[in-house]
Amino acid sequence: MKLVVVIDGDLLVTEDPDQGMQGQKDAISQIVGRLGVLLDNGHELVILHGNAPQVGYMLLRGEAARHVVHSLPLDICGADTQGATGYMLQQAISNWLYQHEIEMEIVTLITQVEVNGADLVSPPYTKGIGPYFNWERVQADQHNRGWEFKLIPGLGYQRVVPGLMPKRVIEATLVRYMLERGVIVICAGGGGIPVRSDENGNLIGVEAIVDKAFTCVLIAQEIACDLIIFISSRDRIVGSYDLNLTDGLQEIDLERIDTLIMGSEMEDTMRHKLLASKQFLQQGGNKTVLILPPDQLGSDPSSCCGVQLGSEAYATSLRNQ
Amino acid sequence: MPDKVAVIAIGGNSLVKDKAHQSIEDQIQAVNETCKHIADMIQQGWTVAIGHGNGPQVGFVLRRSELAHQIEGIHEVPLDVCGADTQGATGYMLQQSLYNEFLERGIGKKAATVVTQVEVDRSDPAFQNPTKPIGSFMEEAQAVEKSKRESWSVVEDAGRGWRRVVPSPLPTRVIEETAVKALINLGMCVITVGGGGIPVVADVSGNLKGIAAVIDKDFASSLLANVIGAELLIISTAVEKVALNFGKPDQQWIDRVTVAEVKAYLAEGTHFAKGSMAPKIQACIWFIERGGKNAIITDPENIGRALAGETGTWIVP
Repeated sequence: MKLVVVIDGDLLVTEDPDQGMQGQKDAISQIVGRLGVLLDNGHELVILHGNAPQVGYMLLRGEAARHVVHSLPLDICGADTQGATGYMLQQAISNWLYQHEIEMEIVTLITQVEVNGADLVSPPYTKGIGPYFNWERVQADQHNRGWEFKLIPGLGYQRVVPGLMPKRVIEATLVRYMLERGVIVICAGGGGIPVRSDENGNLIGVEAIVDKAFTCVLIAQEIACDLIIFISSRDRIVGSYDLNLTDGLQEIDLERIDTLIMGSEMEDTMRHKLLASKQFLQQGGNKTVLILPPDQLGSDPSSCCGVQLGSEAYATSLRNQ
Repeated sequence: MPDKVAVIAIGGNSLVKDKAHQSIEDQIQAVNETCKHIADMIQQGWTVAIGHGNGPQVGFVLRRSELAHQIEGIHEVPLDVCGADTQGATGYMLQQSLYNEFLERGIGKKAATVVTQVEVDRSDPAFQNPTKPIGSFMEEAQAVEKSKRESWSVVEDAGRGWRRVVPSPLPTRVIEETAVKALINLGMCVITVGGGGIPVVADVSGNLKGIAAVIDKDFASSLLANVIGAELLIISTAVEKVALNFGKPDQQWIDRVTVAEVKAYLAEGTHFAKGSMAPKIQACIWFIERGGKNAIITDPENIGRALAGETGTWIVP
């Protein structure tokens, strides 16, 4: 089976600051161990990972060193984390494969996603990123760097950046080529490096973010995949949504997805996963599955706890319409 | 396998021109220039894998990491992850610039960056003698502390303070070899072994693990060239040609030299600067001794002319 597996970035770090980067490596190995059944069953796998906490660290480092070293725009931050998280993930997976005597190759491809440049002005949503600042600093940065901020009560001012919809995954065909050659592909980390086209079609990095939930639908389309599995933490899945996550896989049809989307005002990652799932199903995808950190992941991915969005029968009837 | 496959190792000067041009805008501009020369080559029918340096870039990542650790108390970035960071960022800049060049010239190819680990041998003598300085200068007390708590090797650098040194072992295996080959076979332009590759060793159970070391990017590019069956290795550096007695009154440019001849020059020990030209020469020698056809050392501007046989230093079997 062809699978796109999407892992939230906060599952790939550790809360414990004393553990440093080794803590991230350990967290990644743990997740990979639990993903083992997917690796073991000869599925064709494309893996996307989040990068919100990782970019947060980068921005914090960048600000702390700003008086000495040039700071990094968001496209470069994204590229950095694709390199670093991709490396740790591919190493953990290749070690797992080696220990289980499975001869499969894995590759991380640095991936750009094109967004609509015009949307930078009035983006569909915005997101706060990076450290919190005081008012003096905000005034200076608004002026010097053209940044926008919002006040988070009790914490300070945080930079807000445009959240944009991906139009095209620039390296999508390369992902497909590698998959066709039996290679597991890690790509579009953090949703992909956001770029826009100028009037000549040349690509330029932009200061924006893209939610990987939307990017993975584009990749699923390119590789004609059957199933998207989102792996998320309990807090992020449930949020303000009325979902039961304890009794196996709860099945949710398109109608209920719509109700859930309308029932929430928040531009959170859960909403994006629901919207992305809807898009995927409407394009003829079989189903998406939203699961907790996969401690219960059995040989059949649909046997774990979480939410199954759109039944196969429903999707089939959609296609036949 | 495409007809003409080449590996080009691009030096730090192709990415960060000098201390006054380190910003991302400056780096993008330098990358754009370099990519024009690479696109010329691809237009002439070459399928190219690119290895690049990352010395200054790792320096930036480490400096941010050190300062944020001091000021904000957040964890430091180990050297293997620094390497992976810079592979992502520099790879992205190169692949975007090449995309744009290909578009403008109507070349139906794509550039792909493969995050690449390179294995080194734990018994490499370099581990007994770490020589490569990395990170900022430290006070003696801090150096002693780091050496005790984190087993860093530290040295005093002639009155300027203390610095961490790491080993520079030889590359033995490109872990992502199959993926790189597959992309080359599709005729794609592949960016790989950035900074010489992320250095890893295999532990007793065969698991790979990142280590604090620096692999010479020319050595890694040379190994890569053999592994993917490239016929040509180009080492792009700051000079158009290699010279004998470089910088002396009897300096003499080399146009074409056999492996046997250049090995003799290298053995004399006076012609090529240690740590700069000597390892480049060595990388070319190994490439040809392992079955490569030709190697060229030249600067980015002259890659096209060198390929036409008009300039550069050619090292031949």
